[in-house]
Amino acid sequence: MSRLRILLADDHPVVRDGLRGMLAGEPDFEVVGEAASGVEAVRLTERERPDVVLMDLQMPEMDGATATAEIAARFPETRVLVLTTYDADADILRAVEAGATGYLLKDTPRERLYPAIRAAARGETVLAPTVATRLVSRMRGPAEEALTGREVEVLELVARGSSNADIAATLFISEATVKTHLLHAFAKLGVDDRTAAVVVALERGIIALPRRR
Amino acid sequence: MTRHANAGRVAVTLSYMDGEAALDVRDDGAGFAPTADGHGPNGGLGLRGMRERVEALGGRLAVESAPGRGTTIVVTVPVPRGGPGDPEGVPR
Repeated sequence: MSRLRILLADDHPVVRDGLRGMLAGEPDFEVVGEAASGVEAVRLTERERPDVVLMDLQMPEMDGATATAEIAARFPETRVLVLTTYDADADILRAVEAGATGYLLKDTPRERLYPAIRAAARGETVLAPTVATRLVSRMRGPAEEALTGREVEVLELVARGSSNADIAATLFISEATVKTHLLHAFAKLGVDDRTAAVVVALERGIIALPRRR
Repeated sequence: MTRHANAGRVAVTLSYMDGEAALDVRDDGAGFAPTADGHGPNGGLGLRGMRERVEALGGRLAVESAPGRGTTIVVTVPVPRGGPGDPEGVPR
């Protein structure tokens, strides 16, 4: 039986040592490298062409999600299994969108981790139960109401630091109408102030960060 | 308006915003202090009659202005969803 070639990517040496020790007990696993950063993970993936990368998310020099995206694009035969302490919606979505085959949390017991690595190597999606729950509940959530073009325009100006009076002058409309557009945008985004509106709109990709001049 | 306010630009903007329509008329003219005697929103510019007619429709009329900053008059009226004025046209 050919062994599964595994790359460990985590900036904490203790974690890498612990994983290496755990995986050494399984005869069908072979750890082919250890990366302490996202950049190193991509470089070692290119050199070793592992079957599975166990990827941490928070790492210096390119975070795990960015490294996952690069590996998924350049080395599609290598599967990325995210192994992290973070279970925030944004982290999960970023990793899954980046092309991660699975998403496990570091409290996963070894008897679940081993089959998950084997499943990921076969290209099967493996998700920690809490992660699966979050993804499904997000899909079941109410459909987000789209912002109108004008509401987006107003939010872009808010993101640049414009006051309502500035926005009204730029768009050559009344401040009252600017306020109404903003209130409707707040309601659609589920927020109640302009700072939160900008944050949510950026997170959802409705507006982009203003370019520095 | 252009002549009296000494404006170089006047824009009329109609916005449909979830159940109401707003008509903004903005100029970049001389502007005025809306609370000043004789030129307030209720006197001198014929706005009293306009406001009464707008309010009869359940709407609002507001004036935004300051000396040197141009003038904007905004008329807002409710547009019932699915009614004849709803830009989306169909009842929900």
